Amino acid sequence: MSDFVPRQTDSATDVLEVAPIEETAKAPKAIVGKSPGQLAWFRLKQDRTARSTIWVLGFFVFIAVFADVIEWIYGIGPTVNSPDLLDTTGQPLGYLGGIDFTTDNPSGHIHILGVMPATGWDVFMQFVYGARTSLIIALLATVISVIIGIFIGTLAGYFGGWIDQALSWFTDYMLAFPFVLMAIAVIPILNTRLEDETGYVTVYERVATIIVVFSLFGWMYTARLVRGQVISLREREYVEAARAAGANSWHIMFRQILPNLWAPILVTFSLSLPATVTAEAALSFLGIGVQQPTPDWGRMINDSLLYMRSDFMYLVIPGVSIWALVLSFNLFSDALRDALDPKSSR
Amino acid sequence: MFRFLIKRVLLGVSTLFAISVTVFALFFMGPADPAASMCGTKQCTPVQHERITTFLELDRPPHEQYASYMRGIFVGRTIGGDSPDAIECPAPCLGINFRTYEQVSTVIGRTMPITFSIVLGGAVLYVLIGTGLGMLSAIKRGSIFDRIASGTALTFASTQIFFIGSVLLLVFVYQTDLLPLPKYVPFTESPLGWLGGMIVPWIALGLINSAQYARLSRAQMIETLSEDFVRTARAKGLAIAPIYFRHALRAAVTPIVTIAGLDIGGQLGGVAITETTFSLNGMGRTAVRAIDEANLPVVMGIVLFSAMFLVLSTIIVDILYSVIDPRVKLGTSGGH
Amino acid sequence: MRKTVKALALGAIATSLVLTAACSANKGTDQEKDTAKEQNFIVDYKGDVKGPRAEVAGAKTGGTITILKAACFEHLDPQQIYVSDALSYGPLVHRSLTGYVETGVEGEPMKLVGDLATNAGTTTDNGKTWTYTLRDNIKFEDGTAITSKDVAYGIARSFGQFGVQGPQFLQAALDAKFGAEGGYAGPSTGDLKVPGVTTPDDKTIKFEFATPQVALPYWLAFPTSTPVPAAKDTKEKYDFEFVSSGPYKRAELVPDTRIVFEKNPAWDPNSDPIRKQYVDKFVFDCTTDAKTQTDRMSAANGPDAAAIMTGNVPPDQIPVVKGNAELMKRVGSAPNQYVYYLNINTTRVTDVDVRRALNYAFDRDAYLKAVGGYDIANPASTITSPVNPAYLEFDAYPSKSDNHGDIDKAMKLLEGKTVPTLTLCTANTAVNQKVAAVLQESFKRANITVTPKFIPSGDYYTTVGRKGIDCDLITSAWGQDWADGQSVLGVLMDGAQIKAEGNNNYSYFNDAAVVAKLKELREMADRGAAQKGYGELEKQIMEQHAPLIPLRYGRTFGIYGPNVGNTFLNQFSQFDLLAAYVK
Repeated sequence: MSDFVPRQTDSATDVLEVAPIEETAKAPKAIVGKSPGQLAWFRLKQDRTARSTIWVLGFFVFIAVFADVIEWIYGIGPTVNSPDLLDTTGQPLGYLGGIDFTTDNPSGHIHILGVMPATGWDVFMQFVYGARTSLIIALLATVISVIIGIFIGTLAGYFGGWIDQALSWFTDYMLAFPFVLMAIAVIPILNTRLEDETGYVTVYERVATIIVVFSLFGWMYTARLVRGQVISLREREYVEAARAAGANSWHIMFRQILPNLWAPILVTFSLSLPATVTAEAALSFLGIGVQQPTPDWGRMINDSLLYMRSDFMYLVIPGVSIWALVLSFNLFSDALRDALDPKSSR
Repeated sequence: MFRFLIKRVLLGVSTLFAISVTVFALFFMGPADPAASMCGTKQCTPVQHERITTFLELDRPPHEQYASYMRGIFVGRTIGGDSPDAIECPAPCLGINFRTYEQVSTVIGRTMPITFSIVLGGAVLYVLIGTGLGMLSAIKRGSIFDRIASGTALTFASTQIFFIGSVLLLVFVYQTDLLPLPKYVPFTESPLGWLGGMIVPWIALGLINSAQYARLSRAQMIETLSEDFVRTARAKGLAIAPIYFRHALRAAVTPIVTIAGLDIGGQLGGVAITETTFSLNGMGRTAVRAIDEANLPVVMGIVLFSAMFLVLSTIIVDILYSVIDPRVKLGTSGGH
Repeated sequence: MRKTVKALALGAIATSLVLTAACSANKGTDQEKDTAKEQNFIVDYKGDVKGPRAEVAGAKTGGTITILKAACFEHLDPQQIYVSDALSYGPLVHRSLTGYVETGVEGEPMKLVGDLATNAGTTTDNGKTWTYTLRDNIKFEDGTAITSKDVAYGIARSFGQFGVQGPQFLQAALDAKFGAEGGYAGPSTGDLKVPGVTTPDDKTIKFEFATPQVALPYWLAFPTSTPVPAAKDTKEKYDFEFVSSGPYKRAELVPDTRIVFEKNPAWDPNSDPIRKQYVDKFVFDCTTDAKTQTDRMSAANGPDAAAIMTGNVPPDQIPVVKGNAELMKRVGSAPNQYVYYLNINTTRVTDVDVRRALNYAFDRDAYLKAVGGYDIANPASTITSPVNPAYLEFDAYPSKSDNHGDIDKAMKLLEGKTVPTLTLCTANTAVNQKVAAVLQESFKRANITVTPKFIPSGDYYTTVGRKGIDCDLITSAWGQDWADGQSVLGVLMDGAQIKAEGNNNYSYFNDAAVVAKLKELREMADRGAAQKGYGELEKQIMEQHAPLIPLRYGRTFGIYGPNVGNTFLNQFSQFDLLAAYVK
């Protein structure tokens, strides 16, 4: 934890402790016979913010998934050198960082968002492929860390006693590491372990390393949240009933208790996803993270800071993209929380 | 209370111990060769490389190095083994900076005030602004003010410190000269200089971190205002202002203290990104550089320091919790 | 709330668009070529150059010069100094046996002269024995006279633990067992007797070598030969508590933060042909990165009017600086001694035609723009830098006129050959990552596939310096240690020096004829004639063997304050301060 890991999961805890799902379901009497999930979805659809953020997020997912198709239509890849589009100081020629809707230029291609200084790479294609990298890392890292968190939290909360003490100690121990420093130290170590005999580490392995490190240091808040919830649920009647009926602990934990926790977990997930996007960008800022030539938004921001004064447009594109992504996620998770628990926040 | 404290402190010490072992082990698993990075880039001869390795005792097995590191903290030690140039490092010895032979405790002593200035000043700003905005928003719920405040806060919360920091520097420092350049001047040397040098980092931290406090205090306040005792007080005709402050504030303050405590605790060990953005040589930036240089003693010292603050802050938050909110019983597990 | 957020978001985007639109079109300007002048160089063996150094016209005394640095000197312990910033500014406080006189005046040659000694060195047997006599009235900052024993003690220190980071040429030449078992290990052992060094009296110091060492006067210009009073040797703390012998002394030193030098009253100008003492104080501000340095130097407010920057102007600020005619008057821009190479590992890429093809396929224009543009890099075609006296201008693999290489020639050389995938090793830094990607694309044009391998920058050179390393292409940079072809070709292209680890010959190039020729040149006593030989040999190496691709010549682009008088880029590409003054 440091300056860039927002503690958003805490607010999730905060709100959701007062929001057990069965109470929510009682609230709107008019709609009878709908499950809590359907209700939440209904409310989400009603929310204009949620609708618009879904469009934004959908757009990013679309370009990430169809990056190759877009490249095929657009005609130029993300790392094609075009030094002739640059002046002798390496700055893009023309207007607005080399934006050109015609093919009447040395590269023979259109550059709808301009070209990168120093290399002449097409910014639009970097943006498209960068979305893929950023989203894959954020999504996988968040999914894995939430799963680890659920698992550890459930075990600790359900069993209590020494298991709880040991797992809680472990959680505290992991929390006490300064995340930034650990990431910088651990990522190169993992990479050297992955080297083949010539010392080469593939792009996939590098991305996997980052995901592993984020998961490793990202599960603790989910674990704490889940633990607290499980403690409050484990003495409920239906759990007692299952226990009396002879169900084993595994069944009770993951079949009886966990399904009642999906709402807070979903909110945690939607909150930690943007946090991961931000954290990945921050690591790139310190020079670790995804390496060239793999396009990546975080590194692009970092690179664009070098050209802040001469090519402001280049700073704007990755900056606004990440900001729009993170803001959309944040707004979406707000809406999600409201939908799951209408009592809160309004 | 006393038993609780002892237990928490012991747990904290065990955490620190585990962290020190982990960092040491990680370091030896890695590819880093501190002797190589010290040896200079142009003409590191094998002979020289070996001399540095021996001098820094890097040829000894990791567990021996760990033992001597730990011994150094309590009784001091001599670094350099049998070399006639061995360096004396009195307790509490956190080792020496491999590159400059400076004691790590001196390095921490020099960088700590910088980090503390950034973190504490920033925290005062974002906690006050965030909480204030949140409470006002709650009182004027649904108003234009509420919308603008929440919207702005969320907009800034979705940016990153290195982005907003760089833009702030460009616009307000370099191009318009409205704000002074970030720079650390010791408070004792010039209080005004200290304030001026810190103002831009504080603003950046404030912009980004206020949102969560605003959001939290707004939610708390709304909840408190709808509670029976407040409504009763209102019904009895008590003036509005004292109600807010006596009851509502008190209830809202507990979660804020929790989060602020943990935030500050986590940041005191170094805010690497912020320090790098503003070129301030605090603990975070120093540690990042040390990792690059495979300078283990410096990394180790700062990581332990940083973990210590985090552990301390959780203990303090637990205690504060019980003071502010007497309903909280100490000693129950997972009190934070 | 939701509406507002969206409105704000749109507003932010709109504002940034407007801001950007306000900028005018970039049409580019042509880069004027500056021809590197050959440098004249004089070694003052006779002792013609005497103190004091001639007055600078218009110089005033007093004032403070601020030096903006991103980080402090790694070392100020004289025996540990080896980095260009400390080599440039260390002489303000440290004197050595010999030293360089640079005036920055066009056409005036650089001189290697006696500093503490009366001349650059006297030898009667072609370099096996050298004698130095100390000047009169040389003192440490505490007023005690500097004797030859202090100089010998300093040299002794360079053999110990607190000398390992300094240059090692002198030590290796003096002691055959240097660093090995039984070798001399510095004064802390209790033994003050440096092999081959004798001090017959307080004014004289003699060096005796097993083989002729014609480079000794150059080696002694390093602060390796700076005198250290034995009684005040505080070992590792000497980095912070050094005893000054120069015109300035330490007034304040906060590591990583700030260093202040003030006048040293014990220094006698008449004893020193190299330095002046015009300025009252030098303040090193070590927490300012290159970006901020540029901004402060552009504004030049208050004390910054008498400041200099030590970094290069970052790429995005170069167009801004170049657009300001007033500011350009205060810019120092010149090629420096660094040359950057892409070494081709000749033990792995054994086909010389493939190596030639790589030279042709290299897109120099793309590369130069990727590393920051033509203002901080010049297109290179040779191994030796234009600032070295051994430089001979030639281009063995000329590009087509657009500077993107010559793919046709490359393809022709590769006809009928299959080149395996080549591994490109480079240090893991942001710039290198970009460069690797640019090189990859550049060679792809000749159907050569390259995969980059990034090595942590801390141990990059140790890794690629191991013989048998599995890299085909290796990036490196080299700056001469002294102005002589031996310090470039003699290090980089000498196959006889290849060892198990710690190599500088990253092409692992070993050719018997070249080795023999290098030996002959190395032992020539007439260094002037030798330089010509190095140039011709280099041309032959590039044409016949193509062991590397010269990527670029380094270039410095920095700004100095309007109130700094008599400063220029010195041989280490730093703004010279040894005779600077405040206007």
